[in-house]
Amino acid sequence: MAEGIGEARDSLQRTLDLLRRMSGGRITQVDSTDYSIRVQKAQNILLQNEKKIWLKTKDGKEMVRRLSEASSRLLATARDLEKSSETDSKTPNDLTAALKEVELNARQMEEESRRRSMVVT
Amino acid sequence: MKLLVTGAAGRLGSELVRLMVTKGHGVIAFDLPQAPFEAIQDLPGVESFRGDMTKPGNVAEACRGVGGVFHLAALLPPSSERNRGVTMKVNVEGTRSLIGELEKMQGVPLVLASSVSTYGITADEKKPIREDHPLTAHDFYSESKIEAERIARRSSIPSVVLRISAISVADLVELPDVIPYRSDQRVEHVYVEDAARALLSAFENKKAYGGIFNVAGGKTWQVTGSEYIKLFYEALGVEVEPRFSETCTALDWYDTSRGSFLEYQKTTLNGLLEKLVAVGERLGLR
Repeated sequence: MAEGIGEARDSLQRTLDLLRRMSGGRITQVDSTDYSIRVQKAQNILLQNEKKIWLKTKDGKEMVRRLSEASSRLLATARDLEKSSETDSKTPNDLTAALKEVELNARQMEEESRRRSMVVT
Repeated sequence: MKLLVTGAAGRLGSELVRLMVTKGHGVIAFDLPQAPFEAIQDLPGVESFRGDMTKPGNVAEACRGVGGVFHLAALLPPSSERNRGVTMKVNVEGTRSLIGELEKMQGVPLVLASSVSTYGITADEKKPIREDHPLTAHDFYSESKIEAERIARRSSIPSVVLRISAISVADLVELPDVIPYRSDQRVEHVYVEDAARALLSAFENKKAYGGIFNVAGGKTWQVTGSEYIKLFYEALGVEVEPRFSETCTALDWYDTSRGSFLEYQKTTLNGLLEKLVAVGERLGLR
């Protein structure tokens, strides 16, 4: 497994657990479900790609690092949101922004894997 | 006069477009709207055409005023095996509609990119496969290519059919879950630049018109499946544990002597491996 992938998966799993706890509180049940599905999609992309050879390249390692950092920021945002009250600065919009960053990095990983797939005609 | 390339944004198509540009040809690069045009759209003399082979209107518009056509657009395995109807619509009806347009024009030649897959599973053969080997559909893709060849041969347009082998690129190619051939199977890939050269040479060389030619790497590329995978990934500097297909598939050694006048075989297998070593170093794998 490429370095950093484990951390990213761990952060995403913890984020999922937090989202379930926050459901009906700081975020609505509907939003919690939507966020959870999106996080699970990112998790699936990680799972499908964690053994890819290109993740061992310089560019691949950099991509994993960015995804791992984005996942950590998402987890930190979810934690802040759980602790904060209605008047605090963290809002569900911050969570959406952090999740979009994770999704962007996950999509880049997926696209790179697709581009490098072997085709025999 | 511009030349039309269908499937222009693909791996072989984009290589062909680049080669054509270096030779001074103007190109209409046809591919699906969502295809990755980035590598070719800014090349001098290249006009991008975002269209769909299953839409006759798109095909007719793309053909307008062209001086020749390279038809590479096709659904390839594994996508081609999901739905026979869709594969036939793209690979067969798309070809029929293209040829229908060319028949309305005067003497515009077609170079059809077909596949060695049309020979079927030839693992029991003793000699390299020649162009006169019987064709056998063993999946939707080969069925569609056999039919596309038949349409081209029966048409009134000048055409060349190239049965192209598996394409190799000097880049990191991800190992699939199952390598699409047996470890002891005879395999002969062809380097992508050489395949592109064969396509252009077939167009430029009138001696090729009306002919069918195998396009493969040549004797230096004739190895077994396990030898090829070992050499490829060792050159990149990567340790892999490949899982090969348990049954033989439609890849073999080919007799390419009939098309030798196309002079496309410029890259030996060792030449590819040298390029891969450089790629491995650049990517930080070695």
